[in-house]
Amino acid sequence: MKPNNKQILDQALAQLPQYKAPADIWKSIEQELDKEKGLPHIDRAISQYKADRVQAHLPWEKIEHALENQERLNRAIQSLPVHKLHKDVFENIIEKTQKEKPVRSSPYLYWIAGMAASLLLLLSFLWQNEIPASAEKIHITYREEAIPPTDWQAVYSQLPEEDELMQFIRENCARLAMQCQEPGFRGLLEEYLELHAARQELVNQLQTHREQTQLATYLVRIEKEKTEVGKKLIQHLL
Amino acid sequence: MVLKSLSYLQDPYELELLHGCMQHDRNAQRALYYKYKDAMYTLLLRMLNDEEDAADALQEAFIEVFRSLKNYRGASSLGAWIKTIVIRSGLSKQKSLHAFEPISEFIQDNQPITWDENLTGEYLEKAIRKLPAGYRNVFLLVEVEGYTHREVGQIIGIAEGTAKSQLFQAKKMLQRLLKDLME
Repeated sequence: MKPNNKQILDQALAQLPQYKAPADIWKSIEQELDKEKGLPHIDRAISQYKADRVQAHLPWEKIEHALENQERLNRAIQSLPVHKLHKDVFENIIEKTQKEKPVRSSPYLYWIAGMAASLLLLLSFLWQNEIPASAEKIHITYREEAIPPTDWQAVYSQLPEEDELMQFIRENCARLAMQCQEPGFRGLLEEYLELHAARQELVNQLQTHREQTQLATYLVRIEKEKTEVGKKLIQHLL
Repeated sequence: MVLKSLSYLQDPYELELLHGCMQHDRNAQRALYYKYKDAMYTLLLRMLNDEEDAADALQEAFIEVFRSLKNYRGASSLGAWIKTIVIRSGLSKQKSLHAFEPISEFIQDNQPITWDENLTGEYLEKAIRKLPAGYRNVFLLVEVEGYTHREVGQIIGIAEGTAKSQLFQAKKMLQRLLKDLME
């Protein structure tokens, strides 16, 4: 069988001769290396010196002891218990901070502040007189936008009737007005209403796209979230 | 300590040599040199086409090897690492000798290369020596030493595509030179 093109080249490459390096090269290399002969001794001496010092100050027993110690500490750190914060701690902090009297400032501070204010007034007066008034006038305007407060009582009375929990809220918020006004409760209710609306939307979508099984998965997730939020709402009212 | 973890250094003899060389042990240095000298000299002789230049480059390369061994991290085999230094030494020698003769001939022929059935190593060697230095380097590094185009590009300092095209040109030229030699 005839060798192919690649085989011909490979065979020729394999037959390429090997040459012997001239014998005297090593002598030249050695001579060159001899010039640097002193350096390794210095390097060795320095490393030896460092090693001796470390050994003298840190015998192996000491190192081993330190390592064991560290290991023990690490084990202890890993097994540290997790503590729960007592509820009254935060209240105590608030109480204490409210009781603390404001620190009285030094009279010198008032004096310095007064001086600085006068200086600023003086500078601004001078600046206004120095710089000629520009023809361009700047008007600074501001506008306040008032957001009408949400009528929560109206919200509670209009809660959808088909949901059992909403019915419960509606009934209870008529009696327990205080709990229903709390921001935490309102936030939860808003979340609950959003989840309720999303659930409704998904139910509608499922009716038209029955083949989309992923919708059912989302619906289950929303139901779960809704139940969780619902639980929290009930806890507020109980 | 670090050297023991080097994946490429599983040969205990080579590891021992390396340790010795790092301690500037002359016997270890000599043994390492003798292990690789002929293969490296052959490569340099082909690159430089001159025995004296090749010997000079080999000497320079091994001095550099012994100086730089402390930087060897074992990312490749010790032989491959030494070879890289040897190639650089050869390239540097070529540069100092202005051996990079301009390539006047660019073969515009896209015909596939066909090697003569009677091609032998002896003929090939003669033809390689007649190639311009640039083509010769690429052919030697890819076909003889087994580097990839990319690696050759990195070593020589040319783009991977240039290495590919120079290899093609080198083969074309070799084909022509071989035809003359074998007639």
